[in-house]
Amino acid sequence: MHSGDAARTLSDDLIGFRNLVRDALQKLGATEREILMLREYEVLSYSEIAEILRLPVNTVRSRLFRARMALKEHLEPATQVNRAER
Amino acid sequence: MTTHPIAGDELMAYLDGELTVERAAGVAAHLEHCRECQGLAADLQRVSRRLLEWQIEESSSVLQHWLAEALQAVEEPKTDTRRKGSYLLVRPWTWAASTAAVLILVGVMVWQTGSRESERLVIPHELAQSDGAEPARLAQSMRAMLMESATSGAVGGVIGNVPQAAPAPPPEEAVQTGRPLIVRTAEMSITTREFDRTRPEVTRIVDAHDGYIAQLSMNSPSDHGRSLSATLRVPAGQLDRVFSELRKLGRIQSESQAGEEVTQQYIDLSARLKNARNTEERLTEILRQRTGKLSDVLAVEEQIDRTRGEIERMNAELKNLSNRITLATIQLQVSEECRQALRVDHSSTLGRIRNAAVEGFRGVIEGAIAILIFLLAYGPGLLILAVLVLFPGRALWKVVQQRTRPEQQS
Repeated sequence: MHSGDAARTLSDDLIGFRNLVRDALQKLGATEREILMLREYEVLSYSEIAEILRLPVNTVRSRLFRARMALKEHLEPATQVNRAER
Repeated sequence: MTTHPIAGDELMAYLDGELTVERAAGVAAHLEHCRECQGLAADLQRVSRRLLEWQIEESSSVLQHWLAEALQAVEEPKTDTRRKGSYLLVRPWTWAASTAAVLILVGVMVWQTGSRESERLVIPHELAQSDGAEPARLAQSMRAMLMESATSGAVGGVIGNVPQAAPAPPPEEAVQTGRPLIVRTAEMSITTREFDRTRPEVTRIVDAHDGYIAQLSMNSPSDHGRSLSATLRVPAGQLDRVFSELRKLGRIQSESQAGEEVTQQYIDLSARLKNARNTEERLTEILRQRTGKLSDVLAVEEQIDRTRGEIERMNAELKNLSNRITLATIQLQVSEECRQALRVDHSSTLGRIRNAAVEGFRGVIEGAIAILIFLLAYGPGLLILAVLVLFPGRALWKVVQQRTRPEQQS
């Protein structure tokens, strides 16, 4: 309800961009999203994230990579280089 | 992956500064000539940048306004009930104003359709609806993140405005109304003739103004007047009145008052406490929802313990500070005036009389002894002298008398 109100006051470009990122984040798994948030916004180290989520550090690293690649693909579908699958 | 010497997530770890020095050197060397890896590095950096941009856009303008309101709606009702007790009785207008504020806030909360949702603002607001328990946790971590970034200023200028919008959590009305917080101290030194009346009088004054005596000690040494020293705590607003009543106890020898501004200290401490509470909440939530190795569980629990210890410490510090702000401290010294002089005179008069009597008695005896000694020493000599002078004198006297007698007969 509020986001709708907000959207009307913002420019179309911004709405497009916001929706794009939000959709991309929504498509991630819960854990991947969480790892991504903890890394990007809380600027925690891999080991700190691993400690908080009780995952091995390697798992955090691979999931973070997967999350970033998924986000990148969603944000820039035209320039896909699916390196994660290689 | 098999043909490429550097895995994608390793490259990412290199960019995040998470590799050991040796591995980082290897990746750096490879990155220099591998175009594919350069492209991937650029992609990864772009994704991070876009996420940050999105964060800043999301929290701008309208959303930030909501955030401020939501934080206010969440925080203010709590603080209001906490401070009623002390201010209610003292200032009726404050009560009226805060009632009005509560009504407005309730209105805002109703309009916001519930405080739970308003807590999930910024990014997780939308995500929250996508799945069940996860978003609440995410919301919490995002909220904590906002608090942290607000104090450290890490995530750009837009978010940096948050703490101004969010009111400081403390019970102090002054913080909300923007008045400075001041720790007041005073010292007073009095001399009095009616010392016996002083102590009950001090107790009465302090009680009448809702204060208390923090420390009191009395001295009554034998060779001085009695003295009393006390530390009084009275509500800061009553300090002047208490002071003027204390002045009536006797003659003022000295008095002084001082005030130390602690607004910034109070706000800082409150913010740190809030951050620690958020961290604790988040860790507890994680502990509840996750299962894992025993060592991991223990590690998180240890972290929680540490955070709780920190919270306890800061809580105590904040309480102490609030206490010093709400209650002013008076150092009172009372000393007795006259009794000393009277008593000292009394005892010395007796002593002097006694001493004089003893001196006199001793003088008489000394005198007698001295005369005796003189007689013993000079008596024989004087006796011989007297004999020598007396006999020729007497003979001469007789001769003179015999010569005058025949002259009278003839």
